[in-house]
Amino acid sequence: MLPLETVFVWAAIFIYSITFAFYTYALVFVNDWVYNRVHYGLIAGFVLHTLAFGIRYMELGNLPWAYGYEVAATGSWFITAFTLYLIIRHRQFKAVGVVTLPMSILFLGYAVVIAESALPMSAATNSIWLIVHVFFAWLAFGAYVICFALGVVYLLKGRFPQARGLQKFPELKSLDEYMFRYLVFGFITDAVMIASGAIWAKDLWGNYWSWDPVEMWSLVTWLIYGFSIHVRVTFGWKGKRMAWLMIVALTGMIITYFGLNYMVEQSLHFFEVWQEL
Amino acid sequence: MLEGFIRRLGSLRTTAWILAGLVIVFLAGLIVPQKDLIGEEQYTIWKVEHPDLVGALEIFNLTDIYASPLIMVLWSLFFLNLLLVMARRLPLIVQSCFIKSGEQTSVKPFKGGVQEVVKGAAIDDVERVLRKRRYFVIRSPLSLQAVKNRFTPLATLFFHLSFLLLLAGGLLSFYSKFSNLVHIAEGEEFSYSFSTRRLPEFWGKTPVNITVEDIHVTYFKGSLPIDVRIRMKVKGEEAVIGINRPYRKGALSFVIKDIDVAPLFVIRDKSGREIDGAYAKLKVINGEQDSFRMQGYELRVEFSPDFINSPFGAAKQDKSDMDSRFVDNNTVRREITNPAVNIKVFKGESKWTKLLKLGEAFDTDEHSISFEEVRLWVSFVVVQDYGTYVVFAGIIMMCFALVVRFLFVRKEIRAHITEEGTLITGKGEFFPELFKEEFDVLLSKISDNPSSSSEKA
Repeated sequence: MLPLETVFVWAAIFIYSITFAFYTYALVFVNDWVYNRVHYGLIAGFVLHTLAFGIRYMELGNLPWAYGYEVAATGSWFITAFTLYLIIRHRQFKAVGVVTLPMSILFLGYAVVIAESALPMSAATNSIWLIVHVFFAWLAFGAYVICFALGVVYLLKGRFPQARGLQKFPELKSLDEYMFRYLVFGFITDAVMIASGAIWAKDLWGNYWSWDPVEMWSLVTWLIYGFSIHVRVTFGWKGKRMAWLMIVALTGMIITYFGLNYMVEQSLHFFEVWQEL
Repeated sequence: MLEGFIRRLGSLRTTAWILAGLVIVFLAGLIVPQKDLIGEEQYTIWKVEHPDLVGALEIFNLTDIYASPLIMVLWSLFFLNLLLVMARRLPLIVQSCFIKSGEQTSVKPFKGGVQEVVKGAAIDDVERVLRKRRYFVIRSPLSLQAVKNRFTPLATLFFHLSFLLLLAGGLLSFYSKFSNLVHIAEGEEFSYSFSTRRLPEFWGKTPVNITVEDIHVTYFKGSLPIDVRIRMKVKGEEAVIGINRPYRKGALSFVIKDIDVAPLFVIRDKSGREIDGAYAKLKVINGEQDSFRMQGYELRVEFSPDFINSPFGAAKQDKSDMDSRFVDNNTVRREITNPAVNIKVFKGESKWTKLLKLGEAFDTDEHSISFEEVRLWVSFVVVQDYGTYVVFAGIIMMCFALVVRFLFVRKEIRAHITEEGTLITGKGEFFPELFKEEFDVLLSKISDNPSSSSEKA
């Protein structure tokens, strides 16, 4: 990371953490005054996070599209962005930040741990298809995380309907529908991600599909979410079953985006700046 | 019995089971090491270390699961199920795109939909508002039916059709694809005709004729390759290609796989007469050692692109030490500015070791070996794949169908006159809460009553 970028990233982590603490306090102790203002902390953290990317762009000339630190930091950014969008668009979902914010903090913290020197993109990642592919990948990831969060909230609210803290969340019917909406959005953007990846792979490697572990896991994840849509539309799976599906399905996404770095030694997707080309 | 089997095979429950089966098999393929993915050498090592485990896995084809009979059966069932489901649902979907007109004096509320009685609103008012919102309306004197996005369900068919396109493209690729590696140095011409097709050669062998004229690599601060441009002639046609910018002609494409150095070594006798010379295509630019034979000598070479600023092997160390990739640290230089080779020469019992800068030579017992020039060589993946465009068409169709199906959901509204007022009932696909919001807006437009809220039917 660059020096100034490091400052902004750590500041963002700090603000996110404080915001999460206030979120928890507001929900547990049902403090409306804090609850009505807690999203300002989220916005402040998001601005700092964005500024960190801006500094990186000014120095390197590219947004954080590739390599370990950039992947994790961008994942965190998209989780926060989706949370903010949900809060701004639908005020009744404000409380969902208490589930998504820890994930955002986790990913940004992980990014800081694995951060390497700020380097430009290698020749292999210098393509417009990278931008399309990665952008839609993050849209899908953000949407699936929201599904996960709504699934968790659904199960908690269903289990503890009288819990005071959970009264801030919308009713179960709304939670269920929004889960499906974000599932559909994630599925479509996931499909575009895979499609653009195949088109890019043809230019970069000569094959649109190489049975690479990352490609396979992306397909598996997409099929799992496709299966979820199928069972909802054709068999009417809703509510608890859907919530559990969304919670379990996210593991596929996490493995695809982050886990494979530790599980697999070789992959065409492991772009490193220093490699041959 | 056959009918029953076909009905079960074409059921949506079967679809769910097949999808689940595919996911399980793919997951197994990701957990169990696959022969094709880990390579022959690694697989053999693993087999030697765990003979019983690998033997057991091989019995069930788990080490080659993506080409196993199990997955072939699953894929066959998948596409068979797809065809049967589509055949059964196509007439229903087409039928649902067209509303039957006719006089309707009573309208049943939609199951799971919403309804509201609006006092003082005429059917004409309802029709006007619906037409403004681009609903397709069929009128009777006392009732109406309206549908928005009525053709959207066809997108489901296109989505599923796209899988068949992908299958067709995949099969075409499998049986017609030709792929091979070609290594060419700057200034070198390469001509050949070869094929790796699995079917008899309907298309004949593919002739390949390439001349690489120039290879230029752009470095970031002399260390990191960030762009490559290769000027070449393919079948007499000029082309400039790079990473992510392959040469394409129809279904044929040249993709850059690797670039390395081809130092020119010249062997002369004691009188200075040139006996042999060669641009040896070596894999040495990242600090590895490579070897080749010439005139009975075995030459093992290490290469440094900038021996003044980067010691030999610095690039190799850099590769394994993730923390040392500092651009400002000049220990790792990859731009060829001061090239040198660390060369070990063997002939029989004799051995010589020498560091040669560009233009230098050293003497063996009978000859002198000089390092005279450095050129680059490129490794191309030459691919001819007729299935690519079919696959891409399937991909585009799939994405487009998904967007249409879920963005433009089908909505239906019915209205008829009752004693209390105009009963309006409606239903939207997939997103009932979203439709309820739109329904409320419609009602407010019809009745000019913003506080009007709908009641679940």
